[in-house]
Amino acid sequence: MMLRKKQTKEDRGREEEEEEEEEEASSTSSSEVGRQESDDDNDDNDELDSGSEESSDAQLDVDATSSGEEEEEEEEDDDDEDDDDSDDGLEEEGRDNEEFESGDDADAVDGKNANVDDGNVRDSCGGEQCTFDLTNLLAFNTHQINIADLYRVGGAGSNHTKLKRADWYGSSPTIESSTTAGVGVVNESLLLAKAVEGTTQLLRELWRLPTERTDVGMLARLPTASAVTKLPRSLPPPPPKQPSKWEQFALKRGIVPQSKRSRKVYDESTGEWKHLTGSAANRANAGPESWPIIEVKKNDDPNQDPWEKLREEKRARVGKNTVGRMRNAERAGVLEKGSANRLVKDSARLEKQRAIMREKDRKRGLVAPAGVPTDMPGRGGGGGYGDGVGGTAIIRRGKPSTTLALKATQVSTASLGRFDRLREGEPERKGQLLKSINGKKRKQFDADIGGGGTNKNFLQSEARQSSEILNRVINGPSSKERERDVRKGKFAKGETAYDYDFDDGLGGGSFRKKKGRAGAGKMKKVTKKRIK
Amino acid sequence: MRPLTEEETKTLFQKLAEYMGKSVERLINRSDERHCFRLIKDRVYYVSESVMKASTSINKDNLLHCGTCLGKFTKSGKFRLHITALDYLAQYSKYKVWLKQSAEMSFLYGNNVMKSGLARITEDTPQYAGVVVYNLADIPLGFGVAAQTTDACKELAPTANVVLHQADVGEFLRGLEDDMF
Repeated sequence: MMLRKKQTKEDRGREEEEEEEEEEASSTSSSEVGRQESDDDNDDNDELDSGSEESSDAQLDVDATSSGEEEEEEEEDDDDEDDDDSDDGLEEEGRDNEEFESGDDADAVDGKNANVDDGNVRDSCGGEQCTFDLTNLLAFNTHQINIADLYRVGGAGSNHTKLKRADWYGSSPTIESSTTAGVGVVNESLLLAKAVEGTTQLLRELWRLPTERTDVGMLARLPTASAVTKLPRSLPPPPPKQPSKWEQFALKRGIVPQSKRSRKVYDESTGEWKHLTGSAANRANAGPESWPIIEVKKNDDPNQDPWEKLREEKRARVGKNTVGRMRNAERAGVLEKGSANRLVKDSARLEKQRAIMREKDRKRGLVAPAGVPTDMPGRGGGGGYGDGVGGTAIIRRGKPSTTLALKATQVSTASLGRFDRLREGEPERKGQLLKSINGKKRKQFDADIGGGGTNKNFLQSEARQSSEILNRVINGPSSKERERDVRKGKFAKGETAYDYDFDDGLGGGSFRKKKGRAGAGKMKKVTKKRIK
Repeated sequence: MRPLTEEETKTLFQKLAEYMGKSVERLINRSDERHCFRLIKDRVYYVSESVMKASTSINKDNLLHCGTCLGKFTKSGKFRLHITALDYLAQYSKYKVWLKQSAEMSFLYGNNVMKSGLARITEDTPQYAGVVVYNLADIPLGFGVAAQTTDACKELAPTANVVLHQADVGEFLRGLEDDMF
C-alpha cells in the first residue's frame, strides 16, 4: 500500500478544498508565513491557542505550495530511505493534523474553545477520538453531533460559501426551495470537517502500523484480523465430542494413527494395482471369498458352504461394529440410552425366529435342495437309487421336493428368471425367495385375510382373538407381563428406563437427562439422596 | 378398510372398558349378527358382518363410513371416543349420572357438570371412571369422566365439578369437529 503517495494526493486535494473554502475568510500573509515557519518550529501551539475564529481559520489555510513543499520533502526522504527522515515525515504529518483538527473544531463549533467538553472522547490533539478497523481502512466516529450545529435554520445565509463552491459536488449540496425554508439546511462544512478529522486520524493510525521497506517504497502491514471483521459467534460452540472406546484406549496406550495409505495397492494374485475397498472382485487382497475353490481344512464341516460361512462371519462382524458405534453414540449422549441393547435383542430374536422356521421347513422337507441331492430323506438308509430289487428301496424325490427344486431353478438365473422364456407345461414363476417369516403382522393383512377381512375363518378367529384380548384387558395384565412392562420401562417416571433410582456406586457417569445443549443445566440425575 | 391390529384392539377395549366394563364382551359376541371392528383411515367403525361385506365392494376412496363410528385413533396411538358411540355406551354403561333440568342445557353446550346440577349418580363410582350422562327422562345426553367418587361428591361445594365433559349430543348441532362426519 503506497501510503505516502496516496495521502499526498488526498491531502493536497483536501487542502485545496480547505483553502478554497476559507478564501472568503481572509487569510493574512503573516499567518501564512507563520504556517511555513511552523515546519521547523515546534511552538505551533502558541499560535493555535489564539482564539479568534479568523486566525484559526487562517491557520487552516495551507498554501498549496507550502504543503507541496512539505510533501516533496517527505518524498525526498522516501528516496533516501533513511529511518530518521521517515520519522520527520511522520512528525510533520502529525503537526499538520494538529492544525487541521484544532482548526476544524474552531470552525465547527462556532468559535468555541478547542478543548470543549461535550462528553465526547478527545484524542491527544483535541479532536474526537475515532475507532478504527485498519484491515478495511475504516475510521468510525461514533460521537454525537450537536444538532444545533448540524442544522443551521434559516437557509442560504450561512451557507452562501458552500453554494458558490458547488462545483466540487457537481451539484448543489442542499436544495434551496421554499419547502426547506424553515427546516434547516445541513451544515456541510461541519460534516466535511468531521470527515477530514476522521481521515487524518485514520492516517495517523496507519502510520503507527509496522512498516517494512521494499523496493517500491515504504509499505505498512495492515492487521489481518480486527474486531469488526471478526464477528463473534452467534450460537454457542458445540460441546466437545466424547471420545469413543477405541479413541480412549488409543490415547491411553499412545497409539497414533498411521500415516496415510496409498489409494491403490499391488495385488499379488492378479499382478495388478487394485483399490483397497470395493467388491471382492475388484478389491486387492480380497481373500477366500473371491476364490473359486476353497480347501476343506481339518476342523471344517465338509457339507457347509464355505462362502456362506464367510458371509455369515462378515455379517456378524458388521453387526458387532454397528452395535459398538451405537454404544459410543450412547456414551456421547447423541443416541438414546438402551438403543444398542434393543438392537441386539431384536436381531437375536429375529435370528431365533428365522432359525426355527428354517428347522420347521427342513423337517417338512420343504427346503429347496442345492444342487444334485446325494442324500435323500427316507427309508432304506441313505444314498443312491436302488432298483427296488433285492431289498433296496427305491428312494424317489417325491412331488413336493421336485416342485421346490423346480421353483428354485426358475429363479436361479442372473435376472432371477424375469426374462427367461417359459417351457411348455412349466408352472408360472413366483418370487419365492422372500418366503421367510417376518412376524404375525404380515400374516394378518396378506392373503390369509381374504378380501379385507371378509373371510369367514378370519372373522371367527377375529372374534376369538378379540375375546382373548378383552379378557386380558379386564383381568389386567398377568404378573409376568407386568414385570416385562416394568423392565421395558413402561412405568418409568423419567425419560427413559434408566431413570430409576439405582446407584451402582460408580459415580455420576455420563448420564444426561436431556440431549444436546439442553442437558447442560440438568446434568445431575436427581435421586432421593440428592434431594435430601 | 382393515381390521384392527392387536395393539389397536387392546387400546380400543381399554377405552371401552372404562365405560362398559365387562359388557364389552357383549359387543363382540352378539346374539343376532356378528359385528366386527374395522378401521377406515384411523377411525374405528363397529359394523355388522353383512354390511361390512357389502362395503368391501365400494371403492376405497369413495367409502366414507360404514356401521357406527366409535371414535378415532390419534397420531400418537391414543383412542378418542366420539359422540356417535353414545348408543352403545348408553346401553351397556356401568356408571350413570342423571342431570337436573337446569343443568341440561349447560351440559349440552359443552360445560362440565356442577354439583348443583346433579340429580342422581350410581353408587360406588370410582374417581375418573367413564360415566354416561342422562337427563331425568332417561335420555342419554352424552358421556364424560367422573371427577370425584360418589362419596366425595356429597362433601363438595355446589359449584365444584362432578362430571368432566367429554362428548354430548349437542355436538351434532354445534359441529365441533369438522372432520367428525
